[in-house]
Amino acid sequence: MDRVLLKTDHLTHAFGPGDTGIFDICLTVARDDFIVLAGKNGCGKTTLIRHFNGLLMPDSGRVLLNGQDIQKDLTVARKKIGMVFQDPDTQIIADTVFDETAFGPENLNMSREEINDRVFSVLNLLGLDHLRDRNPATLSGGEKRRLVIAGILVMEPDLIVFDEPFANLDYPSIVSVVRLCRTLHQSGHAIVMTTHDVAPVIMLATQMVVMNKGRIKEKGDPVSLAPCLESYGVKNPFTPMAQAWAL
Amino acid sequence: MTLFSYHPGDTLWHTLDVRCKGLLACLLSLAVLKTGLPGNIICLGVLMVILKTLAVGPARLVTQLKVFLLLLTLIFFCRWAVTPGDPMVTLYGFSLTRQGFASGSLVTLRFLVVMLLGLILTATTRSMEIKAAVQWFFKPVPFIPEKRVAVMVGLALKFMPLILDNAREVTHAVNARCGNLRKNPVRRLVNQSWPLLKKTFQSADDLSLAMQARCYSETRTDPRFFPNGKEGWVVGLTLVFCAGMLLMG
Repeated sequence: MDRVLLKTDHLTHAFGPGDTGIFDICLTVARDDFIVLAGKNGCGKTTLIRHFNGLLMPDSGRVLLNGQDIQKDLTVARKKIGMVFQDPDTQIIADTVFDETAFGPENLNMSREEINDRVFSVLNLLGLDHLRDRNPATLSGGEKRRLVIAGILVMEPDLIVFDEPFANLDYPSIVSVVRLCRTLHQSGHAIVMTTHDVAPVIMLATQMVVMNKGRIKEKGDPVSLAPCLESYGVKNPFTPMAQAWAL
Repeated sequence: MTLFSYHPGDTLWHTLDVRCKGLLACLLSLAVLKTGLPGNIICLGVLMVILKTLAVGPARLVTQLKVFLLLLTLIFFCRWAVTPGDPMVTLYGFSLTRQGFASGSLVTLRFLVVMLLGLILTATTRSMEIKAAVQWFFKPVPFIPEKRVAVMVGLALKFMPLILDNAREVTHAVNARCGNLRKNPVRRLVNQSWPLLKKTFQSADDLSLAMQARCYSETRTDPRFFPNGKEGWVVGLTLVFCAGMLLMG
């Protein structure tokens, strides 16, 4: 099997004239990658990842999933690329944890038995089975984030894309999300994570991509790239001040 | 969570088949429209008891529905002021009549009862179930795309609590900057409704993206219904109750 899972080929999407959008993005995601996409707010991280499963269409360039242009079959792209949005509240659709998790498989027209099996197994994996009849609105921030991940995992994606997963989370919830990301990566899922706080995941990531003004500025080993982060408006997790702050 | 959000539970109202709940809501709404003040008062009393069993007491109702109650009060006074009849009070040439009082009370009570019926339905039923019931009811009707209609109803139900939540947040944000001190009610309304509108459209956009990201289409796994076996006698009792209300006139 080809190691390359996803590839963006000179992807450009401009929002009007000027520097807003993404420009000429070439990025390759391998099956065993854990890529941290770093950059300050408004640098185009979210715009880029929304092209991965065809939520946004490029002005030019293309996205290839397993060598095939995703536009040929968007359903396959959206099944294989799970996306965890920044704000879980906007992603939660149903009134119970169970229904929310079952939403994706129902869209794929699976049989009710298969849906139940998958949902129970994923809720069990993420430690949410005891909450299955709860209204998602009553869950904590960390639990909501896990629920959203459950709704993605149940569709058995190859790549999971996290958009600012640590936003608005307290420290224990951040730790829980980081552990979950590590488990998912170890169990064979490729991961792409956008963040402007790389500290929690820098040791897990296999590659870091730094974006600025819609373009990829740096790409490579996360630890080696850490010193240049501050010039792009991202906190270097290894500076004494950042470490003191983290403590 | 707002009152209109789904509140999980295992009461009779939670476990009834959603199609039966829909039928009951329709029956009671029709009966309420055809009956007078005494019937409406009795129905209101029964609904208040049901709400109490769902842990929604009168105090919580008044607190969370104050805007709606304000609207009802306005309707009551308008009706009282414009219905001709025997004057009760005359103020600045306007006569508030006995007939207006009775008519205003009846209309307001009907609105309140129908709203409480909707509240009980949404608080005890998951929006997915309501969507499934709508799809089931519309399936035999020709030329109506039942799945699309069901999605629209499901989304409307999803948005009702969301809009109420957003409205509360916007009100807090405006009041935190002393927006409540503004004397001009139109200005106050604009200050609140514009951000609420923006927030609601943003939420709708985000929700549509989230649905697309999880392969949403009209060809989905068919819903299942879970009758609890008590539907027959609940419908029977409701029919007797409705007949009683209608006989009361």
